Amino acid sequence: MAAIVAHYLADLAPAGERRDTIGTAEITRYFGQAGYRSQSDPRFVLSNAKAAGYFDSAGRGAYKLNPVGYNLVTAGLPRRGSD
Amino acid sequence: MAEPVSEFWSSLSAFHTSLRKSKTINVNRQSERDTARHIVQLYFRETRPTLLQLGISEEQLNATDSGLQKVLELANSVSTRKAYQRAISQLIRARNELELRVHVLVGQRSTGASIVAGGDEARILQTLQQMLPLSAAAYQQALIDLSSGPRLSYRGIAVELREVLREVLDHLAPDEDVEKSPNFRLEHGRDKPTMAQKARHILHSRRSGSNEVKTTADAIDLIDGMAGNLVRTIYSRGAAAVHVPPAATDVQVLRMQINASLATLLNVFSP
Repeated sequence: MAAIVAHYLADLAPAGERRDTIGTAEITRYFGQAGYRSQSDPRFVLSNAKAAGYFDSAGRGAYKLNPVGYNLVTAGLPRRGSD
Repeated sequence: MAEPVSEFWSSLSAFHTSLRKSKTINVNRQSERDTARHIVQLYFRETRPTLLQLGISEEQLNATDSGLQKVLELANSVSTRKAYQRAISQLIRARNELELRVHVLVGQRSTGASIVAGGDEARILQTLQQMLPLSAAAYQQALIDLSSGPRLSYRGIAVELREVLREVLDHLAPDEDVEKSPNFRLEHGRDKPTMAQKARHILHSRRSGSNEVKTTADAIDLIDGMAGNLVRTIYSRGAAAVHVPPAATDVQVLRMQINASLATLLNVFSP
């Protein structure tokens, strides 16, 4: 789910909303908007996703979707029109 | 260009072998799980972009992509050895198809190569295309780059040519075969056979004459040193543009040395 949020913000969000890195604030906001309840504390979602190999650290509290995470989202999600 | 691809497949194959050697039901050891994670990262960060550059499409990579996502998923929890083996066996099957596609793509591009490669080089290229398609693409690219006029840096070409030679040696003389040969000893400070030791192993097993063995092994030692020095020299020069002529000459000498060694190792000689 964190990878989906990062992909949305990097590639799909409206221009003013776009960003390459995300932090706990984005996790809280977008998980809330999607009505998604994470099993872990929002503060640890991104560090866990980094440990799992889907994100790279991008400075203090910020994380960037890496090629593994990007592939997970783009290959794992149904394409528009066929879902 | 081919290095990340061959490095990935050899890492995957080594991991597959190590999985088969252990008898535990689950893969618990942190080092094994880290190796699995490393292979996945290597693929998505380096190998996959290289395959796309070679002309493989996103769709053709689907099976490999999902296989490696599966391996990462397995590495992120305690998983059975069988589950890893199943996932990796699927990847190895996908490899054969991918290599075939690369082979076809390299073949389609060989028109360009025939412009720059003649004589022994054309024969070396032809043999490489059948034996190691990715190395053939790298060799071909180096020849095209060398024929395309002055460059600011020749470092990439030097590295590419040396890697082609290394890949041929690794293919014809895998580390474990060389290490098993009689009287083999690792050279001081090395943890695996050197390029020259591999060349000796190949030529000895073909029962080549001692002069040929010595000449080729010495030449390969020289190439290894030359390519390394060339890369370091160019790197340390900084303002490479000022020094283009000597670097270009050095790379042409390296090209001739490598061609001579490849011709011997691949048994490719002018008719």
